[in-house]
Amino acid sequence: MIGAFISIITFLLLGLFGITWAPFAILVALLATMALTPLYGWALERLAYRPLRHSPRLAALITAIGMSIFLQNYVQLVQGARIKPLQSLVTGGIEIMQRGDFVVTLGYMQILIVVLTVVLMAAFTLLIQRTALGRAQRACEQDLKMAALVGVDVDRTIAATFVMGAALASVAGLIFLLYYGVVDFFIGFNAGIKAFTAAVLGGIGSLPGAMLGGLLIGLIEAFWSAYFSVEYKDVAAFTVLVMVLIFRPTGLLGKPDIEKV
Amino acid sequence: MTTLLSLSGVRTSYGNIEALHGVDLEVREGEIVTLIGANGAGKSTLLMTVCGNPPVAHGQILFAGRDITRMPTHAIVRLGISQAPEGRRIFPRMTVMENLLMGAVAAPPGAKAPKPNDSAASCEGTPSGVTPAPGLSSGRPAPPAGNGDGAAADLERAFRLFPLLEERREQSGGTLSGGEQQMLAIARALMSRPRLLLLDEPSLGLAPLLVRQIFDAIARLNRDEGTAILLVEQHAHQALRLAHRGYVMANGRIVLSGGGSELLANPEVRAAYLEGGVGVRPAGEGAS
Amino acid sequence: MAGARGGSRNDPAPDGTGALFREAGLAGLLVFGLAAALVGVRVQDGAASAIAPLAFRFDDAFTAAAAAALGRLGVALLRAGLAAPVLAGGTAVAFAVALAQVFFPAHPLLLALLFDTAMPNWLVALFAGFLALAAGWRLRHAPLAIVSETAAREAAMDRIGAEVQRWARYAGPLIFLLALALPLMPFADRRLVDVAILVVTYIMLGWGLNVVVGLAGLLDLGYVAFYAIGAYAYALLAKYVGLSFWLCLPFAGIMAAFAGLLLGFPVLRLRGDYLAIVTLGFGEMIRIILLNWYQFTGGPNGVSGVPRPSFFGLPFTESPPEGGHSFHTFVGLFWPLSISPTAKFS
Ligand SMILES: Nc1ncnc2c1ncn2[C@@H]1O[C@H](COP(=O)(O)OP(=O)(O)OP(=O)(O)O)[C@@H](O)[C@H]1O
Ligand SMILES: [Mg+2]
Repeated sequence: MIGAFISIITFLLLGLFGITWAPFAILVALLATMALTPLYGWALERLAYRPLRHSPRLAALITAIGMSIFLQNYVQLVQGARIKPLQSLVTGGIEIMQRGDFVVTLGYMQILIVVLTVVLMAAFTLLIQRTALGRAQRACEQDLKMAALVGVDVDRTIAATFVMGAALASVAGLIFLLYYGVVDFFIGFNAGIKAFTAAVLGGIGSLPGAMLGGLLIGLIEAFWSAYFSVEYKDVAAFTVLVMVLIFRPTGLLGKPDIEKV
Repeated sequence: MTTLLSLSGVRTSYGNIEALHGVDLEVREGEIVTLIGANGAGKSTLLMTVCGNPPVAHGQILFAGRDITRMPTHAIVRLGISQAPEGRRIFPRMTVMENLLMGAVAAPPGAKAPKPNDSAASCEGTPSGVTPAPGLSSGRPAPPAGNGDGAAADLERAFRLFPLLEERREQSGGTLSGGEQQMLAIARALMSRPRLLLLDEPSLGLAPLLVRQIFDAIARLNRDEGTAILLVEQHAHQALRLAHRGYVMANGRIVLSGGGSELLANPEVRAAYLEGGVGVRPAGEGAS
Repeated sequence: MAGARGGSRNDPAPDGTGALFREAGLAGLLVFGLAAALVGVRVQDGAASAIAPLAFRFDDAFTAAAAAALGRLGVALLRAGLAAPVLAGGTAVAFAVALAQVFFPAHPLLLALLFDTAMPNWLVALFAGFLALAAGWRLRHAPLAIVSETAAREAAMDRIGAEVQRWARYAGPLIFLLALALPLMPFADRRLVDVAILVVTYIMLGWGLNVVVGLAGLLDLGYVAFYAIGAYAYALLAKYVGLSFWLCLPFAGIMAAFAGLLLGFPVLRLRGDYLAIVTLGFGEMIRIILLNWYQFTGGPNGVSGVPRPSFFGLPFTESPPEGGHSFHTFVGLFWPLSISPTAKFS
C-alpha cells in the first residue's frame, strides 16, 4: 500500500513536470518506491519487532497485525480514505491470435508485469541462495543464537531482510497501481492474507511452493467467480487450502522437518 | 605466557536465577585449558557468557587485553573467539559447505595477524619467546588476495582435518550423523581462524574411536597452529591429560584449578569426576 | 528481585557529543525520508483533484523530521546522563507547543513551524513533557546501575507485573462489587452501561481465547468466528424458530462447539503457521458467509428485531406489559433513589 502510494505520488509529480513518457516514468517510480518504502520496513523492524525478538511467537504476530492496522490508519490520515485513480500509463498490446471474432491480445502492461516479476524473482533468489547476506539471513532464520555465534550481526541482517521485503512489496504495490489504476489505504489487507495463504498452500519456506500456491489460489478464485459466485471466492480458496493441508500438513511443496536432534 | 582471555568475578543470570556466581578464569596464548564439572555446574553458561549471550551481569571479561564485557556477540566473535557450542547447533537446512562458509563470516579480512588493537598492545606488546610465535598462533598468514581466497584456504584446511566432510559437502547439515555434525561444528568454528577456540563437549555422544579422533585433532590444532583452546568435557580423564591446565566447576563457581596432571592426581577430582572410569584406570584408558 | 543486579560499572562507553548529534541527525533524516512522500505530498481526490492533482505539505514533513531529531537527541542525552538540558529543553518545548496550540492555533508562523492539525502537535508536546519528566526523575534519583537496557526494562516490567498480580487479588472482588453497583450510580447512563457490557463480553472472549491459545497452545486466529456463530445462532433461532433466550443459550453454545469440532478435526494435524492460517481462513469463511447469505442472515444489515431475553415470561423491561409484571416489579426489585435510574435505559 505504501509502495503504491509512493508510486502514485511519483507519477503525479512527474506529471506536474510534464513527464509522461511511460518507460521513464515507470523507471523513476520504481526507483523512488524501492528507495523510500524500505525506510518503512526498516523503521518498523527497529521499533516494533526488534524489542520482541525474544518474545513468544504470538507477540510478534499480534504486533504484525497491529502494525498493519497502524500503517493503514496512518495512510488514511495523511492521504485520505478515498480511492485514488491514476490514468493508465501503458496501453495497447500485441495481438497474438485471431480466429473469427475471437482475439487474444497480450497487453504491454501484462508483459511488463511478467518481466518485472521474473527479473526480481531471479534477482532475489540469487541473493538468498548465493550471497553472503542471503546465507546470513537463512542462518538467522534457522538458529538465531548460533548465527550470532559465528559472527553474524543479527540485528543488521534482520533489518536488511525487512528492507528487502519492503522493497519487494513496494514493487508489488507499483504493479497493482499500474494494472488496476487505483490505490486506497486498504489494498494491502487482502493481499496480505492471500499472500500468506499462498505461501502456506505451497509450503512455507519454499519459493516455488509460494509461486505454485499463488497460482492455485488465483485460478481457484477466478474459476469460482466465473462459474459460481464472486462473493464466495474466498470461501472456495480457503476450503481448498484446508483440504490440501489435511492431506499434506506442510503444504504442497513443503518438506516435513528433517531435523535431527 | 601472555594472557589471552581472563574472566574476573563474572556473574551471569538467566532471568532471576544466577547461574555463575563470580567466576575467575584465565586462558593464556597457545594453551589448552579444560573445564570439568558436574551437569548443571555452569560450564556451558560460562562459555556462552564469554561470547556475550547471556550477558555478564557483574564482573569483567578481557580478551587480548581488551574489555569485551559489554560487547555484542558478533563483535566478540569477530575479535577472534570462536565457539562450537553445546548441542553442535549446525544450521540444519544448509549444506555442509554453507555451514562452513557461515563459520568464515567472522574471519578477518586479509591477514589475521595479531590485531593491532590499541588496548591490546599493553598485553601483546611483550612478546614471549616461550609461546609459539604470535604470528603462528594466529593461524596462517592469509593469502594476499583477501577474504575470498582466505576462505578457500580455510575450507581446504577444514577438509584436511576432517576428510569425511569433503565427501558430504553438499549434504544438508540436518541430515548428518551426530559425529559428522560434531566434526562440522568444530570445522565451522575453525573457519574464522580464531585465536581462542571454545569447545563445549565435543565428544558428546560419539563412538570411542571418533572421540579419539576429535581429541587428536584438538591437540594437533593446538600444537601446529598454537590456537588457544578452552575445552569443556565430560571425558575428564582424556581432557585433563590433553590440557596444560584445568579448572573444576561446581554450582556456578570454580572450586579447583591447577595443571592438568596435577588435577588428575587430585583425590577429590578423582573421586568426583574420574570414578566413572575407575575400571579403566589410566592404562586402560590409554588403550581405549 | 529481578534479573538486573546492581553492577559496579554503570555507563557503557561514554558517547561523544558528535555521536549524539549524529544519532539525532540520522533519526531526523530517517523520519524525513518516511514523511517526505506520504506526508509532504497529498494525492487529491474528488473535486480538488480537478484543480491540482497534488497538494504539498512539506512544512509538516520538516516538522516531523525536526521533532524526531530533537526527541532522539533528548533520549540520547538522557542515556548519556545529561539530564539537566533534557529537563529544560523538554519542558520548554512541551509548554511552547501546548501554549501555541491553545492560544494561536491558526497563526501562520506556527502553522509553518508546527503541524497543521492539532493531534500530532499534542503528541509532540506530550512526548516532550514525558522526556522532561524522565529527565527530572533521573536528576532526583541516582542513575541506576544498569546491566543493559533490555535487562533493566525487563526488570521493571517484572516488578510491575508482580505488583499487578498482588493487587489483583484484592482488586478483583472490589471491581466485581463495583460492577454490580455501577448501574445504580447516578452517573450511569445507557452509554456507560453499554461500554461496561462490552468490556465483560471481551473478558469472556479473552477467557475462551486463553483456553485455546494459552492452555492448549494452538494459535487460533479465527477464534472470533465462534463469537459470531454464537451470536447468530441466538439471533436466528430466536427470530425464526421463536425459541426463548434460555433455550437458545445452550443451543448457541452447542452450535459453536459443533463448529469448533468441525474445524478442530482437520486442523489437529497442523502446527504453527499452518494452523494459524487455516484458523484465519476459517474465520474469514464464516465472516464471508454471514455477510453474503442475505436471505438468511440479512447480510451486512444484520439481524434486527431479535427478541430480548425474559425470565419465565417476565420481560426485563421497565414498564410491565398491560396487566402483567416485568421482572423487577415481580421480584420487587426497587431502586433506592426516588427517581428510577432505569428510566435512562429505555
Ligand atoms: N536458558 C536457560 N534458562 C534458564 N536456566 C538455564 C538456562 N541454561 C542453563 N540454565 C541453568 O544454568 C545452570 C548451568 O547450566 P549449564 O548448561 O551451564 O550447565 P553445564 O555445566 O554445561 O551442564 P552439562 O554438563 O549438563 O552440560 C543449570 O542449572 C541450568 O539449569
Ligand atoms: Mg553444558
